[in-house]
Amino acid sequence: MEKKQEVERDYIWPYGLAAFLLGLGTLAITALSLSGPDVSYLRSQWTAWLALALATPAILAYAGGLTDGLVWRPVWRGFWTAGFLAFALHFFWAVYRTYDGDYGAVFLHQGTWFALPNFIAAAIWAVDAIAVWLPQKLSRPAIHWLHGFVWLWVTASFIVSTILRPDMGIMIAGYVFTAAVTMILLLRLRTVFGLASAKPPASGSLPADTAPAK
Amino acid sequence: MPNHPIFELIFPSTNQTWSARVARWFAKKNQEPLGANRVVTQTMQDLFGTKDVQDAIMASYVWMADQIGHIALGAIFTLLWCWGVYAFTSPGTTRSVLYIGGTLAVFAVWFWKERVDLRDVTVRASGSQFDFNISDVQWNVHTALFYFLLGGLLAMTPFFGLYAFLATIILWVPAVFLAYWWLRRKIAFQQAGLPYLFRVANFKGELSDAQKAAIRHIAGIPEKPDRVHVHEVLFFWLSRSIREQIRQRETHLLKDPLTPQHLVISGPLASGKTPLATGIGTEYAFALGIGRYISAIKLLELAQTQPNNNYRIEPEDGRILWPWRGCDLLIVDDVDAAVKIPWGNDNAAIDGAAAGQPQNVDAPQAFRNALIQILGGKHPLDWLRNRRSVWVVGDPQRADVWTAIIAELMGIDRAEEIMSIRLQGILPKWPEQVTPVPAGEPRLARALGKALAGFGGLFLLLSATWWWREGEWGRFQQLSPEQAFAGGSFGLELAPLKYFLVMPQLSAKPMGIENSPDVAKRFGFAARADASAGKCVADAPQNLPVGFSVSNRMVSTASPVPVKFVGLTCAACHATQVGSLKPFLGAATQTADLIGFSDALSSAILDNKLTADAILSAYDKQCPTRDTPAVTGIGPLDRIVESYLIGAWLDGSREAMRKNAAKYDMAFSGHGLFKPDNIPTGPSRSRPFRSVIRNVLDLPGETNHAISKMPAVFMQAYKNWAQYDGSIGNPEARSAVAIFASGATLPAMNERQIADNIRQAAKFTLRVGEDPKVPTLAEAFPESNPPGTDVSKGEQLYMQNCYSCHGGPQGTGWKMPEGKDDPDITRLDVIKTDPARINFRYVEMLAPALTSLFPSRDDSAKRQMLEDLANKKQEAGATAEADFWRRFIDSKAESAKVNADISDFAHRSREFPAGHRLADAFAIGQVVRREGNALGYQNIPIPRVWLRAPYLHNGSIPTLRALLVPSERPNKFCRGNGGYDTKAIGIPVVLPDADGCKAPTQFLFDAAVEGNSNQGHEISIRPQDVDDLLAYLRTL
Repeated sequence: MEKKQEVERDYIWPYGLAAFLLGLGTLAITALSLSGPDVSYLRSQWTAWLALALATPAILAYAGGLTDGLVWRPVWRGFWTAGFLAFALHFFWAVYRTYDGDYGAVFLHQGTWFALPNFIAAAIWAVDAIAVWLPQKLSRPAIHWLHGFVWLWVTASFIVSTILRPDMGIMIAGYVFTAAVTMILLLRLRTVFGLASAKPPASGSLPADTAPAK
Repeated sequence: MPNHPIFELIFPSTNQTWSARVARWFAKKNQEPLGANRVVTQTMQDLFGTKDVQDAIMASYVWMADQIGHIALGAIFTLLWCWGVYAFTSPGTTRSVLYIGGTLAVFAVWFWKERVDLRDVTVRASGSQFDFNISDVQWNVHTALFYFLLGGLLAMTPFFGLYAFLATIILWVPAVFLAYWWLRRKIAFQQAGLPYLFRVANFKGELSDAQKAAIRHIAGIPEKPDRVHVHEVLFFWLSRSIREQIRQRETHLLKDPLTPQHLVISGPLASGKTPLATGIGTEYAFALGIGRYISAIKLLELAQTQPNNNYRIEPEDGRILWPWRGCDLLIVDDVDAAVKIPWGNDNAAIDGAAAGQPQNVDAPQAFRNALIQILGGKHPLDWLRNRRSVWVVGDPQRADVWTAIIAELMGIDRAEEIMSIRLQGILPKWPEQVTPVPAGEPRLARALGKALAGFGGLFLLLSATWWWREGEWGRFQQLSPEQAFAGGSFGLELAPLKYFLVMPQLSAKPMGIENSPDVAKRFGFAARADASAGKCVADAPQNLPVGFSVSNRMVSTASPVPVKFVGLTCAACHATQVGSLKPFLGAATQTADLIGFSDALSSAILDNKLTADAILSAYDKQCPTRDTPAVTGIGPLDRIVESYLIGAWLDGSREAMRKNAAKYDMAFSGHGLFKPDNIPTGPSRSRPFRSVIRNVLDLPGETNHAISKMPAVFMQAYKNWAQYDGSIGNPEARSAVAIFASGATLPAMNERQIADNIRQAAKFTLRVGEDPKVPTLAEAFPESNPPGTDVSKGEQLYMQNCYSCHGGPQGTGWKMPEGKDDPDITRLDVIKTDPARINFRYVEMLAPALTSLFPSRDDSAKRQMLEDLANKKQEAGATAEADFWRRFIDSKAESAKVNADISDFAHRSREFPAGHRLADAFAIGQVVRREGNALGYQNIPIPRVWLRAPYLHNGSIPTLRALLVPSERPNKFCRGNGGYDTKAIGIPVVLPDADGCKAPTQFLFDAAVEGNSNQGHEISIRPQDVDDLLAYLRTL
């Protein structure tokens, strides 16, 4: 005899949306770059933008503590993974086409303090993009710490890469992104510390349990 | 060993099938039941002539299909990975590591999958009465993994070469032995006729220890689960001792007098009787025992039809089964199923029924009587006594009666030799089916999510396919110096090949070629030797002029695309054809009107009637094969891609022309192309510095009147500096500047293929003339210096008047005068030739600008050079130029304006951060204004001087005679008809009439036009000595 049982299963549409945007973005970059003056350079630039665009919903979701639940978990996972894949494309076009595979040139041009964090971001984001797919029962404190660390590193990399660029458009986008992340973090802190529900005491009187003993 | 005769094989009833004929090759009479011949025969039958929709499917067939599937799964994903690595990486360690790593990663996925399967099987088998033989399943897993790995290696090793692939042949040896081990068991199982596969470890019913012991004994299950010994599987054929070990293991099925050999299993419905009986049969078969499963009715049928068959394999409904009397274990199911069987007329009635009437044989006595009647004797099944049997009785109430009857039929002691097992209760049911229902997500959203994911995957696949194909279209090909010079791609792509081939039909008017549709001839390009080449894509480049190449690179970006484009090579300007001689590479073109052609093409492109469809339609009419480039392999799709790319070229070119019109001016068209007032350069000349000033300095170039003829590039190794003003030291730099001035972009010149072609072409110019040899005039046209001509006087005159500047021949090469091997610059006030080439505005800015045009990996020195220059100009009060250099270094422009041609130095450094591939040729000091020499022209070596006409840097003097005799220099003459004057050594002098120049020599050269002066370079030579000197010059 069959019986129906409600089970918790992630919503599919966030995964689908993330995959669609990744695919559409990649195809658009491939096609549109052909009409530009320097195909490899454009692809390495635009894939960086795509990575930022796709990772932003995941970054904001994580900042807001929204990584669980049937909707938010797929949003976080899907966009985090899609963002990483776009970043991997950017890595390929930047390092192996624009920089011609010359890692030394990357450090020479960008400086160690800029290049090294980016390489580290690429490596740890790859690990985390796999770790987000581990089932709940394999969840360990170390995995949670990994998520947090990678989130912080990648977010910081995006912020530094954008607001320190001489290009005005990129700088503004970086500030907007930073403001969004900051705002969400603040909202979350407010909720965590219960500041939203605290009520001020009635004026002129102390709460009963703090009344001084006579 | 079990006491049964060797079986005789029975062949299928027809000998018409291929598989039957093949079976006969291997089948032997009296063969071992599970020997090699049997295995091979079954394999042949399964592989050839069996279709699963028509024939009964054998377990051996399924097993082979399963392993072939494992090989394929291991191969497919590994192959896809390795293809991707091959397309996107260059040969080297990284590629090899990726091949191996990817193969291992694919294997790791299958390893994980098999582990999951093993775990699931173990879970299902838990809670059983019998020990679960996990080693059995592990061996199954190991076999699967081996074939996965084999498939992966078969896919990966070809990428390491043929020998690596051939080395995998060694793995087929264990693959075959593994197959042999498994197929024996599968054949034993399928020939037992069991209804399905069931392992006793999956039986969940209740049994006593004695019952379990009896079952284990009858089924041939050892006390402790036995491991598969790998060495026995792989090396049994090598060692007799190993074969003996195997034989001993396979003979554990001997009768043990202390343990019952016969079972009667009874129980209520769904108590697991048939599964237990089937499980016993399965275990026995996997132990390579010869067992047979039949129903009671089948037993009676076989008793009637094959009463004595103990040696012949029975074919039944497409299956091959062990002979019922020849097997060691007989399982009879549904002994007491209520069935009527027809009875023969001459048979006596049994159980009171009338003779000839159908009888029920569900009663024990009726069953006994039927068997006695058929087989005769008191114990008709006594041959089964010393073997094993399992009887399944449905009615547990009559189990004892059935047990007694069966014992009687076999003539055995019921108490000692036959055990009755009465199963209790109902087997655990299947778990209640639960249909998971996702909480919350609407069905539409779910479906939309899946659709979006599908599209996303498709887009990614399309992108990946395109990138992979780009690797093919732009695949690097090492060209020889001559191949690069004459046919390489230099980023000078102009238009799609198909458009080129139909150009006269579509663009005759804007190009001014209505009356002479041969574009090459009209604009003076040399024709190839094969003038009969067809007009289709497959005939290219033979159907294109000399100096035109075909590549799969887009105009301007040189990005690899599937559509073929036509581009210029060095030979377009540096090759010439004299009379019917084959074209000479390295010579100065004497006829090509490159600027006119460029304007003509621009006008044609701006024709709004020119569309991608028009081009493709015109081509299809000309070449019905269509020649659509393959992108997806789907014709209509490929056509769409081709049309899109041609359309993109048209749109991009038009947009660039419109955007640059303010700087480059509008293109001339039609017959205006050939008017000197419009285009003052004419055949064989250009205004290179107009292009350089526009594209490097981003300053107006129209006032630049530095007109240069296309120079000959013979034997460049004999001088250290190139250009008429001797300003470029590195031959690669000289070639790169020429290509850049002709219209190539920095990104295009940074493509590996193009950069290499430039290097190779520069290398060609070092020795061309000498190697490959180009003839002198006297060698090419012997009649020009008739036999007996004495050139010694001319040589003397040459040494007196010419050698001190131009040097002279030495062996097959050239030698410059002692101490003058830079070569020297002759000051303008001495040489007195036209100054426009060397004194134009911005000329002093070109050296630092060109030096920093190609960014280096470490640009600090070049940046410092520019900053020093800016400071110097500032201090000198040249504030406009100082401001220019500061913006040249870094204009702080938005990076969105990606235009490397005229972008600032800082942006170019960002765009080529690893250094432009040609940057090394532009080291500081390689492009200079040679200070220390006043304004002047470089003295150049003049080997093959006859192919350097017209003469002087601006081509203002048509012949050497005119050069030597200034009074004979025409101030006006008509250019463009080709031809050669071997007497005067140079291009024929055609003077204009009152109406000017007429076709074909349409271009009127006028020495009065700025930049065209034909004055200067006068030497003191007597008129009577001119012919002698000319005679000698014909030998250079």
